[in-house]
Amino acid sequence: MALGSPARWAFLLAVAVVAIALAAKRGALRDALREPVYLVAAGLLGLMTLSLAWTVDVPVTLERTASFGTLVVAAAALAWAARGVPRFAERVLLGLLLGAAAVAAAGLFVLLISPDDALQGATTQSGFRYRGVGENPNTISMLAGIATPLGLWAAIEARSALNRGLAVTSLALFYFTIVLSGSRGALLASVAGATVVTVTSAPVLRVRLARTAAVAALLVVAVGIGRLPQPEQVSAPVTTSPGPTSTTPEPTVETPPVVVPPSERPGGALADEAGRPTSLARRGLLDSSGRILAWRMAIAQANKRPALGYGFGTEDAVFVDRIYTFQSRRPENSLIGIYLQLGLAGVALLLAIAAAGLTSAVRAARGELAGRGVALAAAGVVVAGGVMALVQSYVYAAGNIATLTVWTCLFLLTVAAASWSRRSE
Amino acid sequence: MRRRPRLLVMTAHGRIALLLAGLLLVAVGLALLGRWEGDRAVRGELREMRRVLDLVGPTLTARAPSAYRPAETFACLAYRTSKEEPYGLELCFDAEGRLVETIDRRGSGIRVSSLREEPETSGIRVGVDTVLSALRSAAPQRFPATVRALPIGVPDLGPITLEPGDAAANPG
Repeated sequence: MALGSPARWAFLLAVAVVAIALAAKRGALRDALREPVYLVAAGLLGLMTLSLAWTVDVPVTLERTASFGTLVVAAAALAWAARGVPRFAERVLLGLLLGAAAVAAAGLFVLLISPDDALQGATTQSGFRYRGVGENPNTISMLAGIATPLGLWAAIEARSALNRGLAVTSLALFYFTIVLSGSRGALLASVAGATVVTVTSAPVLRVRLARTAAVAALLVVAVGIGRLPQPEQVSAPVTTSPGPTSTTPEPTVETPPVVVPPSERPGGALADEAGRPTSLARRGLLDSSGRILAWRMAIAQANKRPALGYGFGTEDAVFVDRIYTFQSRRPENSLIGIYLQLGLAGVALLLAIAAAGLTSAVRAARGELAGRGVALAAAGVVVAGGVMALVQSYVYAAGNIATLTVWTCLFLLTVAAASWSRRSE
Repeated sequence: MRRRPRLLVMTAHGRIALLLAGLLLVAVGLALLGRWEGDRAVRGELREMRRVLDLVGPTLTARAPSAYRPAETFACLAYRTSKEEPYGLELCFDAEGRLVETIDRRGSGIRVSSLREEPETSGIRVGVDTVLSALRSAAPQRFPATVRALPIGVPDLGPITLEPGDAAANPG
């Protein structure tokens, strides 16, 4: 289901303009480049722009650089506007949480009125999967996984029963979305992000352990529920053997012949020839959905242009899915995706941003910040986003539903660690 | 405290100018490196594609193609290389008859060489007529002389066999 494509770009631009105005009000914009995350992000945007010189598709690179640049500027400016003002950051995080919860609730609504639109049918390797209003089961669940730390933080720090109820409802919606989607990446991301919040949220060790144990228990339950939907059964010839006392053999009963589509014929669709399974066994919990093979093939391709890649935004164009069990236009790993687009230079910049974000998270966890809970909720989102980046190509895609949330939290975390230490509010 | 020599004292504007000059130098260097790397990659793909083309033969008719594969932006010819491998070698051409992708399936694994993302860089132009001749030699009824364009612009649903006796497996 498409979610208003032209409108979202206009909305993103509007957010960027408002965020810049708010950041300008806070002042000292030039100081932003003294923060490592801001500086490296500027370098990444610079490299993306420069890749116009060697890209295999100039219009695509131009368009993607402009849209992603707008997103990063919006996120950076929004965070800068929270410099020294944790309450502003709190409102930003609550806004992101409510947005994610609204998307999850919309999915539930679609499930109630039109189940066929909200569910992806079973295949021979996995049972039905819930996709809500998303394009596929990994779309909305990704946002739910990344927003889980925000829901947990809001539930823990709520100052009224109503707010706590809303936060818990958001968490329930996220959990429902993730578990029924069968998205293992979203589940892992949500657990990683939630753990950041639980292990840092209370001064008493016993409370922290209890909260972390609750997250672990929910993980176990989620895995159990996720195994319930059954894969599609393949019709196979069935024979009945005669009973021990029967003297007349029963006739052999066979199911009607299965109509084999061209792509399943011997030789098959050559576009999907790699990694063809030798059996129709159900996908196991730890089995790869063809991703590992996709990563290997994408890395092999990226090795042909190792230093600077094929140009920003060209991942869809240059990666060709030739894998039978893998269905995506991208290799679904942000590091490999950026390696394809911007080579090792892009990988280095992305890793530098991640390292700077983690450093800020550690500073926030150790420091005496005015808005420590807000900073650690943002850290949870960044950690969840980092886990998600290992199984989805998304951190550089402005059109992805979770990208703005992750970048906003990354910049907020940096600003928090750098400017909230004097208990400014 | 020793004073620095006058020549090394720099104003704020001077420092900014130096920084900008440094950034410009890095930008130009990266742009040149990116272009060189891209050209080198294209040359590598062309070298491998030419090797596969030489195995089939430049006229594409030294042996009859075993199948063809229509797709969105190109059409491919496949050649049998053994009894077990009906599509051992595959050559794909864009609408202008440029070789844009080759696949070598002999042995274990597949070796793909491709310029499908930038077909205009392919310097191997076989020609639409040559490709159509190869198709016509294997399936004259399906590709009569009136057909002037390659079967391009349809979803890739896999190979359509041209070998006698396999028509039932691949109607159409």
